[in-house]
Amino acid sequence: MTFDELVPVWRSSRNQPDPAQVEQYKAGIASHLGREYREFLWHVGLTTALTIFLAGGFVQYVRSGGAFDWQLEWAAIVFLLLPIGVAALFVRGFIRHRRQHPRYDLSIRDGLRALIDENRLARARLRVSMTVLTVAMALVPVVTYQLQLVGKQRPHEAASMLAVFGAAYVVSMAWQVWKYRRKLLPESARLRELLRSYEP
Amino acid sequence: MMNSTDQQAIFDSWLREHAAILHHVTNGFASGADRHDLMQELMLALWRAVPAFRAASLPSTFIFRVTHNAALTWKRAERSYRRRVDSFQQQHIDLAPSVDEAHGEPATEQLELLYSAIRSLEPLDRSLVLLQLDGVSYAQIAEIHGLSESNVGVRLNRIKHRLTATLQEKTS
Repeated sequence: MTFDELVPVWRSSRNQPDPAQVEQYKAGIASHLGREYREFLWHVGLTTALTIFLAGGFVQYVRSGGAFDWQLEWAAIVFLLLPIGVAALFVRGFIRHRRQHPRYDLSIRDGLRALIDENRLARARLRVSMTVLTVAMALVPVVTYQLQLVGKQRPHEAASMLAVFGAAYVVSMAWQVWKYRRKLLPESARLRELLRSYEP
Repeated sequence: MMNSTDQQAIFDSWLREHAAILHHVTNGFASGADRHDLMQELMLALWRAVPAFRAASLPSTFIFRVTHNAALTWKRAERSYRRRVDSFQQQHIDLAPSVDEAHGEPATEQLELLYSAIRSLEPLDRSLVLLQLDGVSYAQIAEIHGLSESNVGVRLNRIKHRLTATLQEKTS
């Protein structure tokens, strides 16, 4: 049996999908998209609410005449500014990526190149995130020390803060290292191998 | 920006006219229960690609590019995989080639044999041969993949020989 002998079988009616099955898949897609949209709203809503709550609370405190000594409490400001700096870096990386691959949709090969760059960007984001998280963790003792110095935090509150931030740091770092090594690096290797198969 | 009603209308019309492309890609890249996962992945990729479609190219060429791209980069997500497969198995959806009353079982076996031989190829080769079987010209295949036309010809010639050898091995 040769390849050419099987071409008529390929073009026959039995190599066509069942319309009822296609409809069932469409229903599955609609429910998947709905779930994805709800999850997106939940994440964006939660992040926005937390940011507004924290930043708004601080601004409200200062505006209502609350005592704030910039020289003695600078670490808390640096701590609050860190996420904004990270967000700015992420946006810059995304804009650069879009400029480097303006027509990723021209061919599958172009799309693969863009995907490899996207993977590189995702790994760079994780490296930045892990570095900033470590800097933030190193700042926590300074923040608690300064807050105690100006009488805004008691020793047992400082201990709780260190414990919560320490636990969050360990969990977050473990998840990011796992994602970097077990997901992004193998994915990068797989995509590069696929792109290599395009070379004559 | 396209609204969701227009997006749905275009998506529905593409599926009405070109569902066979998705069926062929699914069976050419996945077997068994994996087919449910890939089919859903292809449909999601197509849905998301609708707003990027420009009338300058034919819908079929666009659909070939999107679905083959999704199949080439597809890697089943273990976490959601079991949930998706279970959901479709509960509905008794079977994506395997159907049995045609007029031609009967042997032809279906031949088709499954051909798909199995295609799946034994490297991913890029699978995509190239599926496109050719679907009647896409060398020039269009070259455009879809970003290869030269002569390169496509050379590769397809080599793939056909390899497929014939595999088929003969499987049937002997």
